Amino acid sequence: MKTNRQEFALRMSVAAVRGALLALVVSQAAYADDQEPSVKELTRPTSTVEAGAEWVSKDSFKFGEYNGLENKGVYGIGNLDLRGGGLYDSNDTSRWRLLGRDLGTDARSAKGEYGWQGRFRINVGYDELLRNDNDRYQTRTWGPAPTIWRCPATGAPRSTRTAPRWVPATRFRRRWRRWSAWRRPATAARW
Amino acid sequence: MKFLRHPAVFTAALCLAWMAAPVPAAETDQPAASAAPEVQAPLNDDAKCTRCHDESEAVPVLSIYQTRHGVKADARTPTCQGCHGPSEAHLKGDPNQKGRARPDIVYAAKAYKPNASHELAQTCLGCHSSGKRQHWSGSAHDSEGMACSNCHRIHTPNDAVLDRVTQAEVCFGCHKEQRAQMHRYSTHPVLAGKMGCTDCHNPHGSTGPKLMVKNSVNETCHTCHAEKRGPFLWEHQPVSDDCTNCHNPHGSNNSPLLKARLPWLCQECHSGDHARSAYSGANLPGGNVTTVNGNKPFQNQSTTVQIAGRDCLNCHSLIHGSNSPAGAKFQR
Repeated sequence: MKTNRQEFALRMSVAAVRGALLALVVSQAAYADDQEPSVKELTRPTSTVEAGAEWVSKDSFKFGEYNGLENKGVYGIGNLDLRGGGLYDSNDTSRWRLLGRDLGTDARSAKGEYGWQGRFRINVGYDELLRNDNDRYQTRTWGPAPTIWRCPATGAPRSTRTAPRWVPATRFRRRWRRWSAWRRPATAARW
Repeated sequence: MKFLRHPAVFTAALCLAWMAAPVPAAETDQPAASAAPEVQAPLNDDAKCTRCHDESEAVPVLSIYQTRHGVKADARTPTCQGCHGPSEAHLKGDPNQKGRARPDIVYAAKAYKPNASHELAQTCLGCHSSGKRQHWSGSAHDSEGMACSNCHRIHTPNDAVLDRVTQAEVCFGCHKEQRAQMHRYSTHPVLAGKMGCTDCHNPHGSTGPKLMVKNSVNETCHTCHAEKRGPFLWEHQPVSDDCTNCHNPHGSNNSPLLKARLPWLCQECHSGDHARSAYSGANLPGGNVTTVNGNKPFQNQSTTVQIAGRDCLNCHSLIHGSNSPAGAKFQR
């Protein structure tokens, strides 16, 4: 009877390859920890990208007031900060940047920037802002149907006992979206 | 975990781990030999300092070349000595002296005592004296002996005070009361990273009170809350005078940013008619009528309802001003 067993094969050739790969990983990590950051790492524009997933267990009116964090399952979030342009020791004074924050949430923002230092810079931005509000108030419309309007000190005596109508606690959510764009010229010698 | 035994999976996992490992440094610490001729002169000046202050520095020094202060092709960009002074004694050193003479301009180095704040500020103001920095001299922060380097970090591409998300933490380093107020129930979205302190304040100096970006508190508030600006047919005097008569912009436990809860906030000014007492019910539906035909009670409704819900604003809802011909009392 022939059996097919998925086992970690200990053939010499396979073990050698895997051992070499493992040694490469370990040596690189150890070597990098001992090294100081290089000149290139310190002088070149650095970009960062963060990505992940988010899950909020329970909605909270206050906790998610401005940040859009609410219970809507698992969803992706991320931040990015991409930079580039000419090098510090070159003739190229152009620099650009792409910045994104809280991507994936309802409080996301993004900004793009490009310019030639000493000449001009252009910025374009997008921003979302959420605002939760909780309000409860009473109106001056009396009775079961909102047709009776009472004004202080002028209302006629009423034959039945009624009360002002209460509007129950209501949660409002407002969302602002803002697009922005501006250009900054480099004009005067002093800036 | 049996799947990890599969040779292909194991090999793939090792490859992923190898790609995630940091790449070892291979470059030298010499400046680019292929630098453009126009930038070679300032680079040579910088080399006097970076010969010692290289990538081995614990405090980031070379990372200034990622910032606008490091773009050498811009003729305005200073060299190291442009900000830190010629520092001849520091460069030459003295074998008979323990340690090394201090540079001419020291900002925040722990090894030397920093220069006076006005000297440090003048070094930066030599270039950055326009725009928002016009009123630095004699401003609140200048008067407190602060310099630019107390808030700004020049040698890093991520200056915390220039980023809206991290800016408030820099200010909170001194302004502890505002830090506490920002954690109250009702606040501006500063901690959420949607606003920074500089959206309202100009820390470099201002013609307005409290370092406002505009000439007055109201002008500053109206840059965002334009619907409160007016002009209105019926104005509410404390609104047109100063928003902080009623609001605390840094934070409050009385939404929205009120200094005190209604009706007591209104009773700080209003003491007549039914405003005299929160329980009077005077001239209100169901309350005692004291100004019409004497003390004639209406139905026996509890008068405490006027302090529930929005309190005074249940009726006087347009409290910031009204354009209705019948809105003299801000009810419509």
